Amino acid sequence: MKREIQAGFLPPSALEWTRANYGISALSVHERAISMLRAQAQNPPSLKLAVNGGVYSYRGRMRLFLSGVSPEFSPPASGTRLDILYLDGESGELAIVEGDAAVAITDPLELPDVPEVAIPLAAVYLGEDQETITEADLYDLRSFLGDSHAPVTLGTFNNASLNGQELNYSLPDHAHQGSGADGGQIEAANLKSAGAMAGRVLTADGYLGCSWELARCVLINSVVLSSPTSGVTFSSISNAYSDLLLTAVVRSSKSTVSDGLWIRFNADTGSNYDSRVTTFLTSYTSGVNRAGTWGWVGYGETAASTSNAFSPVRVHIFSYTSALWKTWWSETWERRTAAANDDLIQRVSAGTWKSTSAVTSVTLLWQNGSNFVADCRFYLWGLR
Amino acid sequence: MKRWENGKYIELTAAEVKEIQQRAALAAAEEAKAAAEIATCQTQIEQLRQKAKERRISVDDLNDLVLAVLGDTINVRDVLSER
Repeated sequence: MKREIQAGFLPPSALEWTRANYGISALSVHERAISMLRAQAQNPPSLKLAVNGGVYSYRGRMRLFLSGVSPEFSPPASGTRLDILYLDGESGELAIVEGDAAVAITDPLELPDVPEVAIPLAAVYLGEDQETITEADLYDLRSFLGDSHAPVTLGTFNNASLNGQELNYSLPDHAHQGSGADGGQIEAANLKSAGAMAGRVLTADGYLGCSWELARCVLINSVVLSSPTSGVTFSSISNAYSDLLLTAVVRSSKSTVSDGLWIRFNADTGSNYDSRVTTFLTSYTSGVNRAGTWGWVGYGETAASTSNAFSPVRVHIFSYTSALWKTWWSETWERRTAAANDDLIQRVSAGTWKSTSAVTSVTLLWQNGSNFVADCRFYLWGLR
Repeated sequence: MKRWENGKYIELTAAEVKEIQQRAALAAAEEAKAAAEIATCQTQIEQLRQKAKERRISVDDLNDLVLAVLGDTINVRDVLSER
């Protein structure tokens, strides 16, 4: 037998609705907006709160909370504290998470973290040895427009192709719904090949069901150098992406201004690189390197630059797994000592590595054989 | 000397050290050559400027200037903006 939702402290007879008029929704529109899941001070006040009944959405399922009284709050022995009363979406029980001691009322409120299953209802401002909670102590935390359940990752592909593959996945505990195993399988017949799929992520949420993550940028590897280093190499690069993006902030140990920044793929030192670097100062100049044993990325700050000046670097490597010759496009920036206009230099480079092999390693090095100083940072991203 | 690869700092081999030394020597030579070219060019420009002030520019000077601008010997613009 269904039970009707009680509207706050008002007896059912005082409400304007009747089941005949409003069906099984127990509250009028106004009552629903104002009262559902509202936490209020008890009358007479105590260290517990009364919570109205209401409907809530939890992981895609609508649930009914029949109203109830919270556990008792424990005011701090000294100072103040902001606690949170929440509804456990999974169990349907009311619970409290205590905040930090001596918290101040700020904007935004410094609230404690709540469990993933929590639907926050109210923050309660508690003072030293407080004996009762009144309405003045409450801050409404109810969210009126849906919940914020993040998508759940079901699994990540380890295979380069979906043809004939089956997706085995395991559900995290918090994603488990209803009965059944925590693992599952999507039949091969339901999967369609879409090119390189390794590393792609399948997610599910309570509203939209399963979906493939859209185009994204994945951090493959990174380093912040702790000591001077002659070269930086990212190797064993997965073929799961369409392009590679190498970003860095660099500085050379060279004593005079500007050091050429070079790139090599797959440790190839043959004469297989054609590249051009164009330098923009007040005027501009452009240099080429045909059949070089390295590719031009640009130039970087050196020991002759102002302390803490590092050059940003961005290298986009296109279609790195294809059988085409590989191309890159890059940019760098220097400000040296900024003593003159022409100390501020922007460089744009592009080039071709004349190889049909997939790029599996990328190395950055300095033209002058100098070191990347400590604190240089390098990030290799996969794009798809 | 060390290099970094996939999370590890690796001591350079003798061959790698030698390659770096060669690279450094080559770069130093290129930088010295560029500096010399810039110095030569600046000297020539200053000489021409002085002659022009004194109204002593000759036809040969004009020929050199035209060739320099057109890039037959020294491309003034590129050399001056070289860094």
